[in-house]
Amino acid sequence: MLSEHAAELARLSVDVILARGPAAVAAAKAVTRTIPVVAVDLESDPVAAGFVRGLAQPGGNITGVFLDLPELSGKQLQLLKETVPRFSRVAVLGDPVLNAPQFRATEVAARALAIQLQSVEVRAQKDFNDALETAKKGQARAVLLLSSPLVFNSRARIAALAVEKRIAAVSMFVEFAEAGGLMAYGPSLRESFRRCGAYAGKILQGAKPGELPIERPERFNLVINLKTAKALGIIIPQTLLLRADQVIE
Amino acid sequence: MRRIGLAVVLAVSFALTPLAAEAQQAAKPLRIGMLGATPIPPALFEAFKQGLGQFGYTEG
Repeated sequence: MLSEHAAELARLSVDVILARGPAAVAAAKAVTRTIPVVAVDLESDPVAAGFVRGLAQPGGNITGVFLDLPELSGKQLQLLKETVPRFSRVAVLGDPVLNAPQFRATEVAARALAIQLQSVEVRAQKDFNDALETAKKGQARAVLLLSSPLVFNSRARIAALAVEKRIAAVSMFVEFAEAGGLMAYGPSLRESFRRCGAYAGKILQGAKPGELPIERPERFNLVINLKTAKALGIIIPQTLLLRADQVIE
Repeated sequence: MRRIGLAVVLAVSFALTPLAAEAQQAAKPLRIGMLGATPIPPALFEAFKQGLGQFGYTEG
């Protein structure tokens, strides 16, 4: 479906394509090497994925906002460390194929923080119960949910299961904490899209996408669900509450 | 935004300014193709247009 849409945009020879998410960026890349593509993709490593040659000089027709994956995982693990007593082991839940770059990035971040990491595969909504049970058996007191449409769509179910199994959970999606998850920490999507608009503006004025450096989101939102913390018997440090953009009582 | 066949396209134009060079650009219709697995959430579409607005482009 995305590839058909991309082909249609190429046929129309639009001036710029805004591609949202890894699949859209890949679809745009497949149909054109000339139409500038502004990407907003918080799940790929743009160099490893072959979207750009380098971060400072993308070199082709693709540029945009990409997340620094190890940086985000590192910050999420740090938050768990500040929140969960005696935190030494984390279970990371994700799709082995879709989330491969994030699994690698999280391993790097966990090593730096001397946290043991247990990778647990989830491919469908029905897998979350077993995945959290596996995490619990592995003595993980916390889980980090790698981002995917599956996690986003299953957020309420995951949040409920985590409370049931008494596991602290963090996700990139603000909506996860709103749906009863303990914490969310991730980039501000509004800021990322505003910057994509600025990229498109620069390109319409004649800038070459290959010469516009990849940007990283700079604004991150922290959301803490105190109701869930209470249910888990976790006391959130005051310093963390002060840093939160939103606290759900 | 409007749909052309399968594609979703945002038409933008350069806001008129007193500068001749920029005024000339206003005559050229510009189109931005929107590509994503799901429809773009309205708040994020607004944010995107805000960014475009910083460079003088407005919808329509």
